[in-house]
Amino acid sequence: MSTTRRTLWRLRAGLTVAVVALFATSFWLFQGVHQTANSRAVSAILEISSVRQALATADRAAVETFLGASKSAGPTLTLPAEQEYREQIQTAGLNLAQAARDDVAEDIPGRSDDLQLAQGMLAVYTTLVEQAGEHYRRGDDTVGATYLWGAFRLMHHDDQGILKTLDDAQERQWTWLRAQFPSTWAMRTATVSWGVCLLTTLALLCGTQLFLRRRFRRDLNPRLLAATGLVVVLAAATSLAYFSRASLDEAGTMTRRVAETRKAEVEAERRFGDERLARLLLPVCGAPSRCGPTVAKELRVRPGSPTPVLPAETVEAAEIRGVTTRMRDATEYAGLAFLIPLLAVTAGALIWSGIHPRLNEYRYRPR
Amino acid sequence: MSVLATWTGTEAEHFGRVLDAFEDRTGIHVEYTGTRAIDETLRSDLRGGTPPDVAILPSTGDLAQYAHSGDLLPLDKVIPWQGQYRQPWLLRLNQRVYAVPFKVNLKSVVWYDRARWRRPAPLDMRDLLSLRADGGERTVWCLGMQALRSAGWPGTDWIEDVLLHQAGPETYRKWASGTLSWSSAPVRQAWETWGKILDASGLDRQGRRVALLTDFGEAGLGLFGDPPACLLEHQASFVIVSYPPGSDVDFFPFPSLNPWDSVPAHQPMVISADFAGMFNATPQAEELMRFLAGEEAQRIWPAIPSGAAFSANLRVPPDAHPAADPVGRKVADTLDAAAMVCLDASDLMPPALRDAFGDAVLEYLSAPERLPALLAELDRVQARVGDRWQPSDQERQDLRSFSCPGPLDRSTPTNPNGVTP
Repeated sequence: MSTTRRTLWRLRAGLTVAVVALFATSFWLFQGVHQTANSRAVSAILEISSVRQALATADRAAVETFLGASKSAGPTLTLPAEQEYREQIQTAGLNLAQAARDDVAEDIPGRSDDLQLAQGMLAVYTTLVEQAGEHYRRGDDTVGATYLWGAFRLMHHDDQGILKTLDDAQERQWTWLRAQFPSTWAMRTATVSWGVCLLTTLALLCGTQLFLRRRFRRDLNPRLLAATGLVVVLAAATSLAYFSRASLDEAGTMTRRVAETRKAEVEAERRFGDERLARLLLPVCGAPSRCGPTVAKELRVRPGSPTPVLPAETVEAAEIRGVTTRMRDATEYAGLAFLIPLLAVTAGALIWSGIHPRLNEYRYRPR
Repeated sequence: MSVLATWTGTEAEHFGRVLDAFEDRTGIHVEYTGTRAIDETLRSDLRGGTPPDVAILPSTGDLAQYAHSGDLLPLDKVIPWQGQYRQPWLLRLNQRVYAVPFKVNLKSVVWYDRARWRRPAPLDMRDLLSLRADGGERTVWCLGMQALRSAGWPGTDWIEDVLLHQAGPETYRKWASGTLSWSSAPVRQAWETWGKILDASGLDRQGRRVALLTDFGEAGLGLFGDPPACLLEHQASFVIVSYPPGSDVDFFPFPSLNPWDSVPAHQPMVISADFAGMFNATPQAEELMRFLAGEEAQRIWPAIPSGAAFSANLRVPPDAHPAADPVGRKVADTLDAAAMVCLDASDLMPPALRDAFGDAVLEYLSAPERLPALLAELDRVQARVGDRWQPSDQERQDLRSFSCPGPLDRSTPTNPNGVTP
């Protein structure tokens, strides 16, 4: 085999390998980002945080309802509170069902069906509140308060309460997100290898053009030129993954902010509910210090403490819309994934057809 | 494979040692979930079509319903060493075995701090009614009715113990299996006796209200206060796990409440047990069921000092408990020597009736004068439950014999080839 033919053969083989590697790394990068963007994890996180907030509000409203119903605790806004309780429980139920559909954390170690468990516990909770209501209606404040206290504990218990269960479910969505391509070493590795493959391909294409020009004294090879153009387009298409990733990161940051705000709201509702429950338990216990060890331990506000302020709702609809917009941005280019194999195959075909005639010329020549 | 049970915290760590041994032996990885809301979890898992492979739960009434619905699978061909158990200790329905006891708890016991209680153990009703708090403590009995999922059950334990010790195992069997009315004289008397015991101990209206708001796990901590808030706690053997580490506790058996036999050795005992059942017939699940029922697994938890786990496996004697755990050994000895052992009746009841029983306890504590109305309501719930699942005569008979499976009686040799007669 002549030296020229051998060189041409090597250039073609090198370009083939480079284009295949470029295709693989481009596809890895592009799909890795967009598959995560297409997942429902962010939605699930938002829905779970919304469920937590609705349940904390419902629990506080339930206590306020019965504070009004209690014969010894004085009047309060019974009807609005009862209405609020019902609305929030309904909202929580709907969001919980949606969150269960969007749950992505099946593969994360630990309970994967926390949301199902929360649904079951919520049914127990509403039964306890109903039982409390039944007893208050009968004028039996003591047993009414006992059920309400049981419901409150089921909602807020530090280890096994409904809110904790939901918190765990939410944390598992975050864990899942953190383990996905855009947040791991795979993204960095894919970026570096994609860059290396792209530069190698372009360098080989340029080198081949120079070699052909020098050896055959002709103008630029048009097919190789077209292949170079396609490689540049392929690079541009793949780099859209970085825009998507930026949107995804932004959506994640905004989601975390929304979740944190709602968490603070849940805490505020808890403090407010604590104070209301303390007022409700006071006539049952007789004195603040006589409610027993469990009340002393779990009720954070002592009976008789000043009323905490319930904050106005702070998560704006605009923030939720912002997350939705960023998520939409992150998936905007996902449909262009087909371009990557199409461009790579076409570029490969052009490279082969551009070099093949020159190889044929040297099939029978000695040099 | 997945396993679901109620154990969390320290108990989950102890059970983890059993699962570690299984994984070492078989290489099968087990994912364990422990939750107090096991009923809701299991129900939702079953509804979602994803039940755990194995579930270990105390509510045998639920297990019976799951067996009836076909969710719980028979174990006859899975566990070859059924002979390591007395026949009535295996949950058997329609001639098929559905669950094996994995962890037994002794319930007919009263706990005390040895430094604070130096009086002789009460032996009969008169002794029990004469218990008074003296000194700085507020009351004799530590009482806490709150539980995260099912408030009132510590009170149902009291009623069960009183009924068994007052009316005897035969009446207890009838009541537990749903053939004795709640308004009947023996059941009503059991409630009234409990009320009398609490009244006699000086538990006033305020004390009852505190009991309604106090978690069962915290009530007993009153034993160790300075001064102690209470002196005695009627609670199952598993409670020692929640006592402060290093506590010097001891117990005496629940005294006789019948006038004709107050000999301690003749007294029946209420126990509860966590039964393991299989919900998916995979080879891994079958392997785990064989392991959990076998001697090796049944010895692991009892061997943990203060682990508060006891075995119904006849090959696990009381000395399987370490010598450094004298209380554990004493519980095991008490279980072994019991003339008759009966399962916690509320665990045998259908879930709706069990919940109603707990609710009635709360109301009774608050307003004892409402007892007739409460019992009538329980009769109504029992009738409604019967509408949903009416056990066949055979199933009723099976549940009835299961309610008081008899003494452990490790001294009688077992039949190595099959089921112990």
